[in-house]
Amino acid sequence: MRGRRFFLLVLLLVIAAAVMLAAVGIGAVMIPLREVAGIIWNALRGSISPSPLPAETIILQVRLPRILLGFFIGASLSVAGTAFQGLLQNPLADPYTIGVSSGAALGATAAMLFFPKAASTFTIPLAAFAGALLALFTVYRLGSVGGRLPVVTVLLAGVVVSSFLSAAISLGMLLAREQMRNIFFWLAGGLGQKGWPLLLFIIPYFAAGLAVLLYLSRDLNLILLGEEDALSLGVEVEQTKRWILVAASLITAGAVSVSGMIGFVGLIVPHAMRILIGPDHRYLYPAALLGGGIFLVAADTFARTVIAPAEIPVGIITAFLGAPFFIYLLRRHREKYRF
Amino acid sequence: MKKHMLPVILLIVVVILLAGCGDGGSGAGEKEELRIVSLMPSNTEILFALGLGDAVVGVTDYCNYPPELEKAVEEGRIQRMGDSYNVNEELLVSLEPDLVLFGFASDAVERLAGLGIRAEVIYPKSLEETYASIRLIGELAGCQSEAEKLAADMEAAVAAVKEKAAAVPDAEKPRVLMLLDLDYLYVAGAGTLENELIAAAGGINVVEVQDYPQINEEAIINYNPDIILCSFPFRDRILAEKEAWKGIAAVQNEAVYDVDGDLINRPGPRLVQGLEQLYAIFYPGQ
Repeated sequence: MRGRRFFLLVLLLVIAAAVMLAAVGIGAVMIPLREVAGIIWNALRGSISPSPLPAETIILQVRLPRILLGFFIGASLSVAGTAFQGLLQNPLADPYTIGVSSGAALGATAAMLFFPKAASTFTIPLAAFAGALLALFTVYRLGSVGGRLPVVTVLLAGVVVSSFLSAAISLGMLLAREQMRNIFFWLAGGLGQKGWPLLLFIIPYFAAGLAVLLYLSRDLNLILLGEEDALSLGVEVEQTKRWILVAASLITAGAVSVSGMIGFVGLIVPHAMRILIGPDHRYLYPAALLGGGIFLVAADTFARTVIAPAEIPVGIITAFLGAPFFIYLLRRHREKYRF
Repeated sequence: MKKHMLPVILLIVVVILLAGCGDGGSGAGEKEELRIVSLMPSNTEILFALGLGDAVVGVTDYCNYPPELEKAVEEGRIQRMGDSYNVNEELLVSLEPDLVLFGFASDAVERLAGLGIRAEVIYPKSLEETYASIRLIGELAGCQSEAEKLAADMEAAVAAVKEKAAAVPDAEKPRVLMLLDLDYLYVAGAGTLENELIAAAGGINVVEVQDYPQINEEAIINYNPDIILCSFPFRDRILAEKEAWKGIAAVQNEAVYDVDGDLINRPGPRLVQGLEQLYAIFYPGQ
């Protein structure tokens, strides 16, 4: 069993590398593979020409950061989704359930509405991140009952805060008029045009959150067997839940602030990985990381090439490709599915 | 020089028309009572240009021209009705209009007809259709001759720019990108009013995809346009933030221009100003 799971993880790693390499090779502008390899090789050796050719700019400034960002956003949403589904013991939970994403959206909306002059590629993610933290804090306070963090109250607090924030966003859009277009596009989400700086922006949250989740993965497994049993086995149940909530929310906040809301990845990939590799979170998290990254990079490659030079919003592709694939997995492995 | 002349001419035309159409020139009695609601900024501009400003009783929240419109709204002579899509029908009927000009197909047209209110959908998508809609509005409001003059003046002004532009060989025409959004790269493609104006002003739109597509950033670098036009003020952000665009000819030459979107995407009389601005950008000093 352990050998099989290890093999699956290695396989996912190989697929991830292959998908990303393929994604660098294809795009709206045709660049021969040999040239692509040459450009990347030169860049790796640190020899960057002072006045780069269009092909160099396209590969190094547009395609490469977009692919890596896609991988990390996909990985973030999928890992966060896995954690929320486990923590809330609810198969319909996803990174957006808890209201963190609505908080991010409201932060971005407020920035565009009140400070349209200062709104830029960098300030909007910062505002979104602040909004996400505020939402997390609210849900956390609302969800705690006498120092404990019962699953049901957290879930309800998340849903309520989320609805309230959505209403606030709608109101903001109504008042925004000139800025409504920006807010609408932001909410729709996307991976284009972010570049290297925003990629670096999310990695710390992702790395820190993932480290916490992995460290607590064994305890989460025990909690899922029953909180009483876990307590008697020496797991600090409340402490663990608290940390998982914060870590998964931080990962979500980082991802949503940069890319807006991309649906489906955080809901479906965790389930698909659970079918493939089983419910043990020590293996599930790495599998979700790789699976989410592969899925979003593949979907985005589709989105940016199918009707090139025009683009399709990536959220349409994730649902369009993801739903049939998930149905296939579910039908084939129905009997193996355990939550 | 030409650029400054046109508003003046237009203004004179408007003044003459105001006298002619609004305050009872020919067959006044009926027209003075005419009450019109316009649910599209371009139609509002056409009505005012035809001297029918006093007949307008309702406009959208986005109607922002001409300046006297704002005064009429403040004085309560004109009601704001919301946007073009979500029209408050109660408010609409309570204004007792004789004529309602919709900007988009709406099932309210039939309901209003049932109440004896004439309603028309007028949404031109090209210069030709703009002239036609001016003439139609003139017909509906009973000032055909003023409408004919306004349309003919527009045709003449557009023809003058087109003639100058046609003298430029294709190889010397600037290749132009018209950007509607910077974060998601929505652009004006083929078949749009913007596309027609770019061509008429002697430019070549680099985007050949139909309508207003979202374009891949790679493709924009590859188009390498000579001029980038922004219908919202993106110029400073493009020059400051867009590392990947540094190699584009328009960015290197700082040929990135914020233009007033109202002058190029509103199918009304001011398209002529928009067209002349584009020509001035494409061929400075001519």
